[in-house]
Amino acid sequence: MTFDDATLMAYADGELDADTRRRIEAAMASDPTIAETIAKHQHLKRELQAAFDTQFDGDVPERLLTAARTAPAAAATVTDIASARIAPARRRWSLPEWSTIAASLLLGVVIARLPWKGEEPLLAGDGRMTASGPLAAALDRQLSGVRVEGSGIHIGLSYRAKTGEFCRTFAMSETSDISGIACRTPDAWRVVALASSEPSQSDERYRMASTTVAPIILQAVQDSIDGDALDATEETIARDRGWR
Amino acid sequence: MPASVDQIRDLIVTTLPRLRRFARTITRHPADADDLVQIAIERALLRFEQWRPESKFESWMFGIIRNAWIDEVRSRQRHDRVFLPEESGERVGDASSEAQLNRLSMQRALLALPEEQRMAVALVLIEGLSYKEAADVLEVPIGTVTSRLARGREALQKSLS
Repeated sequence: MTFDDATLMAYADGELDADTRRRIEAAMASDPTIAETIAKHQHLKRELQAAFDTQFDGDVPERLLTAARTAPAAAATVTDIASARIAPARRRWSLPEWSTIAASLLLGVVIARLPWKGEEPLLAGDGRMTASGPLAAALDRQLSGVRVEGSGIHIGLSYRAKTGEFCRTFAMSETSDISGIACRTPDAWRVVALASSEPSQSDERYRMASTTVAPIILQAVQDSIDGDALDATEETIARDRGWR
Repeated sequence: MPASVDQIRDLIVTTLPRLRRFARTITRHPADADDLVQIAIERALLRFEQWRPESKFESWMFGIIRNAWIDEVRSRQRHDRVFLPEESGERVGDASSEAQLNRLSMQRALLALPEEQRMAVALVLIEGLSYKEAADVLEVPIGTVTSRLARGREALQKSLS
């Protein structure tokens, strides 16, 4: 009886059912090449494990321990209304409420801090904030996770909000601590949330290599998202249809 | 019964060595690996209730690490070359012993594999996940995992001999 190499690998990996295993073991007795092949696969596995064994047991960087112990946590979804009601009341800003605060508190800070060459990325007026210039262009065209040389703007993810609009998270890397959400309205990208994550002295280490999008923005996404974020194909289609 | 956030925090601390090891095989650079793990920790905590105790905690974290790598870290990786183990301050002990030289050449061989094969090999052969668990982490069919494993193994065998 012969077995293909994939089956012998699966044997070495403990992935076969008892019956196939027994048949291989029986074949091994009469065909030494089967035993040799399996021994080779098992040897490689042991060598690999030895090469990567205990490498990282010691000296875990403090910032990772700090992140594990103190990074903000949030429930992903409220699946049970009854249990949500008896859960301790936790102050959660709804998106519109939060964005108003963000806009009024942060606009001055943001504008003051943006060392932007050329056109301003954010415009305020008529009681709302919209994306303009380089930010509007990036929101229109740039795909998620793609780094565009010289753009300084990173698009994190795209999704459809419960309001039906397409929304996208962004981070401005020239001022890496500013991130937000913009949603496509008929005439403009409306900035519905904006966060500045200026590190406080105490958690500077923890912030050091933090995600480019502030946790509070991710929380706002979770509160407003309808279903899942768009995958790459859906995003490209949405972009090519002008986010309508 | 979903885990509490404190349980999740403890589980993260306990699995940190393995998370760092997996991130290291993906990013091929120690500093990038720790950045990736940090982002994955933050993401995991923001959706800690999505983990179901029926599935292995480290599998869930490996999936988050992989996604963070794909949609955030890879695009802004600071280093565009492979950091060879001997350059990266690895604890090599007595580097002259044959066993140590074998370890280094094995590490180098794994890091030289294409990303997809590297991830499959790291999950199954190093981390000990089943084919099914690795397929879930990588979001591909089991057949894809086994073919990536086979190709990765073939390349690694060559470096052994």
